[in-house]
Amino acid sequence: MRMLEGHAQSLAFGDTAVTAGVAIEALVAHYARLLFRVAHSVLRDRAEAEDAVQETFVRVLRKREQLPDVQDMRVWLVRVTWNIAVDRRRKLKPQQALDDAFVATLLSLDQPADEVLSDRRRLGVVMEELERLPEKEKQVLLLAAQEEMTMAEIAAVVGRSESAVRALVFRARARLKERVAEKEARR
Amino acid sequence: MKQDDPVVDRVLRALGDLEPSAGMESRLLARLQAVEAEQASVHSKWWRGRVAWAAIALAVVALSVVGTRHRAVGTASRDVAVKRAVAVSVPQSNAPTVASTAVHAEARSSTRALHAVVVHEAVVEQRAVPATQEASFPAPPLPLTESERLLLQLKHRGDPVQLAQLSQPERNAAEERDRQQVREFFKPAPPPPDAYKDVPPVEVPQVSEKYANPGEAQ
Repeated sequence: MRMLEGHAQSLAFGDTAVTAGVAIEALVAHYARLLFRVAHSVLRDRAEAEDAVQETFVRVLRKREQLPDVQDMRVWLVRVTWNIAVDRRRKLKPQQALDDAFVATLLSLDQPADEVLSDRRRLGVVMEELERLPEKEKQVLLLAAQEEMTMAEIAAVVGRSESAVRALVFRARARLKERVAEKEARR
Repeated sequence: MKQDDPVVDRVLRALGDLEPSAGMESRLLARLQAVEAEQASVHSKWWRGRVAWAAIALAVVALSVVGTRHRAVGTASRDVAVKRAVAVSVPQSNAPTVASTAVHAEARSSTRALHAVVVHEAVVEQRAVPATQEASFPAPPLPLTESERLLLQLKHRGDPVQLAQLSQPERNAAEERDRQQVREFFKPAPPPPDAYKDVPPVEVPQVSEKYANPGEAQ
């Protein structure tokens, strides 16, 4: 297993010589969780996110001969997963139901009922405003939420410079919090 | 503007810290193994199809080559077999036995079977030729051909004249009728009527001797 970790780590650094002999099992062991979170941040559904990850690895399997050409395996996998998740989301039922289900998982049932209701409403507002963000801001914000992703990697995924990504993340956070505050103030 | 919103951070943290369901990796690996097996099956089917087509093409080429060589060898071997059969089997009195023995012996393979047939035909032909050249050999009673039958029908049509010739009185009567018709045709013409007896004779102009006898005038 340690060998696999080292193997995948070398993949993350773009060692094409090692990539040529890569095993799909090693990729699954190292990137499945990250890809699941990336897919879930778009889809907000566990089953759908798992299907998206599975589709990602199936594509990797079918393009195995192209793997040596991949410069950064982690960035490439995240980009593929993101695109698959966005495509799947277009075919899904209305996002509201998925957001409600996700919000339900965040609630603490130890609180009083009125606080639970208020918490649910505020979380629903955040999810709603998160969806209303510009596409690029939403993408960098959701990717930045993944602790495993560095700014350089996010920049490589979205195809922008690292400083531009930092600015986008800051702007997205600010816009989201501002809109949530405005909506809370109106109620 | 309220920058520190715990709810926003809570949502983003929840999205970043989410753990997948237990056994996700094993499910993924199982699914990938199934896909890989499916791909291998498709790949092997593709190869099997290619091999089958290659085998068919090879068989066609082999058959064409064998057919070409068979024709060439058959022509050459036929000539050789005829010469050998004529040289070997004709002087012997028991040629049919030898030939039939040779046929059965050489019919073990397709090539030898062809040789045996050729030998058998040569022996039969060699025996038949002297028999046809014998002096007392009678011609066989051949049946009439269609043309001969038609000629006979034309010759014997049942003509009444021919039938009448078979009876003497009728033949005499027919000959008498023919003679009577000839006499009536060649009898002298009747004298001219008296209507022209008063008409004076026409004077014929005299032709000069010069035009009557042109050879003598010169």
